[in-house]
Amino acid sequence: MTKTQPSDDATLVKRAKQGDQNAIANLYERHLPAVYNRVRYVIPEQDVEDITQEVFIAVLKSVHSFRGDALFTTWLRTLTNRRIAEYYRKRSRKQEKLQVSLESAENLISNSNRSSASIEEKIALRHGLSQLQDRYREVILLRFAEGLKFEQIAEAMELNPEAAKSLFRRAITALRKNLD
Amino acid sequence: MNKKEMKKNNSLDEQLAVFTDQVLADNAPETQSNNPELQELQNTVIRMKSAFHENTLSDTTAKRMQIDFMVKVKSQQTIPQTSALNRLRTFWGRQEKWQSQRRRQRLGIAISMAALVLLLLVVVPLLDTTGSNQTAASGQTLKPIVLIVFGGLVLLILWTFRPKS
Repeated sequence: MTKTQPSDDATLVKRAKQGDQNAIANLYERHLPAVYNRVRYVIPEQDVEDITQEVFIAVLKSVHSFRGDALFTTWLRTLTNRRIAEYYRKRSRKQEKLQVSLESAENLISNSNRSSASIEEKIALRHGLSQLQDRYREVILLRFAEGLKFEQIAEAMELNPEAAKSLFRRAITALRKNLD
Repeated sequence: MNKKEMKKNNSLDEQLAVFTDQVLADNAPETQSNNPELQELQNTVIRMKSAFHENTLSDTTAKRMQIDFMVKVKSQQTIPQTSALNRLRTFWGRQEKWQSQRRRQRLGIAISMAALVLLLLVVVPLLDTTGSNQTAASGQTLKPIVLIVFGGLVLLILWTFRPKS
């Protein structure tokens, strides 16, 4: 979901609206890594692919309503966040904890290369991220999951670069507190 | 927040941003800050980087996911059209069937009624009471029977061409 080549996105979206499957494939190929990464930072591993696909299915279903007032990447982030929120809404906290335990157990069995400590760490970080307020989580995901520079984050979040860095520092502080 | 605190925070913001850039570019400095507050934040950045640096999207996974997605795209684009078309066909099929049934019923009733009217036109003069007394008497007896027969015929025709579900 980088902000490069917005005009190409616009062209592809226009063609996708007309049912051009090549344009849909191009949009998918171009934005898959960013969506996948964003999802894998907040969703348990076994559901990452499904949720990512559901995001793109949602894109396909609602692309006709995308008017191009915002960048496609911005719209895509909104759809991704919405789908992630929906994922968590469907699960009660109790079920979520059970799911997390199952996930860690399955991962321990299936992947002997990874230590249980690293899995526990990932679960703790995901939980910490999920507890953050939206803007804090967003700035962390933009930097870590999407790899945007602070200038790009500032542009995406309509801030000046100093404010983006300040927001990032406060977000990391909040995350650290959630991890305690 | 006073000026001194703001300056300190600005400095922290900048240092953490630089540190994060370095960590994510795999150029993590060997030593961390002496400032305990910044050090804690740097540790959190390192934890994030370490936890999620693996399991990134591989080319194979991306390719497989794209193929799966395009299959879904094709089915999404074809199934609704097919089902809509089928629904339309079924609808019109039902309409045509229903209309042809109705047309046949109406035609049958119309022909039967026309036949009855013709029959009445032929029979009624025979029932004319004017003429001989014998004819008049027999006409008087026949009239209700003929009317009952006509009524029965009408009912039979209506029953025969009744709408069938």
